[in-house]
Amino acid sequence: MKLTEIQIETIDASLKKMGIIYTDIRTEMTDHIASVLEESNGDFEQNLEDFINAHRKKLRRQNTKLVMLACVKSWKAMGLNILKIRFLATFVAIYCVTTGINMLMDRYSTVMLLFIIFCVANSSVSLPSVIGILKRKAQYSIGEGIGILNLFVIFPAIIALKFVWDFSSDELVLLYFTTLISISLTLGHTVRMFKAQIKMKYHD
Amino acid sequence: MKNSQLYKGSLNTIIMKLLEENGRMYGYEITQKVKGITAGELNITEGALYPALHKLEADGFLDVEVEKVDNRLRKYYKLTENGQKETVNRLAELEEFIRNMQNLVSPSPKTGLQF
Repeated sequence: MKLTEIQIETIDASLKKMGIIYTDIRTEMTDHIASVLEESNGDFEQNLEDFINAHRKKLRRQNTKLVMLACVKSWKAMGLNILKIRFLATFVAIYCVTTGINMLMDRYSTVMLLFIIFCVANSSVSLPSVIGILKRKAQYSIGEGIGILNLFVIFPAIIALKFVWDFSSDELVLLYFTTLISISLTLGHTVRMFKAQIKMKYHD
Repeated sequence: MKNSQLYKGSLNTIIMKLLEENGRMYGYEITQKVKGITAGELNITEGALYPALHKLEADGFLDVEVEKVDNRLRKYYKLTENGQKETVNRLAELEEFIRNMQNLVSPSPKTGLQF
């Protein structure tokens, strides 16, 4: 017996209620449970309840495993993007710009300007993820939300503001901020890459 | 399943072999196919299957296609070019493993042996 659209939505809602928030994982679990229930006789609601009760722990464990795998995949992609020539080109371009700025300004003004540039780059990556989470917008995968981790890169930047005057040369300061800005932009590129993959998978 | 530990190390190879034979498959279909082939002896649980599928996808051995089937979205997996090459290697490794195990468990009498 094929399940109706409403019955499929009921399965999906049950999984969501259990904390399985990412669509990429839930889609597969919903299809699996629907396939199992289609082969069983009797009342759908009762069969679903029985299945969920019997598999609750397993489903949660499976969800955790899949989220962890998605995390590893995201960071692996981020690492690979850092090893690409694109990262090196971005790094060199930013370093040239910061060196130019440093020639026009003193160290204090340069650092403050670089910090602002860094904050803009960082916010453009992390804010969409933060807003998405706050608005409880449906997320397809954890890859979409890794932009939020960019917020952690803010700490070394703030710490740098305190210790930057102890750096022996201007070049070290420029290299430090160039690295932070490049990492932020690469993380943004990685998030966009994941969003494009998801769009291709689900919206084609 | 009689002893799941014996099959655990071969799960990825089993999945890849099935995909090589069937082109593309979805999760539940894989569990049912394995159950059918082994006459119910091997029962792959969803807790083992989906992480394995996602890992193979992350490693670049599988591609995913999402389609709407019977009022719901279904994820189909198929081997990538790399996945096809890897399947050949893993099957060769598995066959060698089976041969070695066979020799260890029930060694055949050596042909040139004289008493």
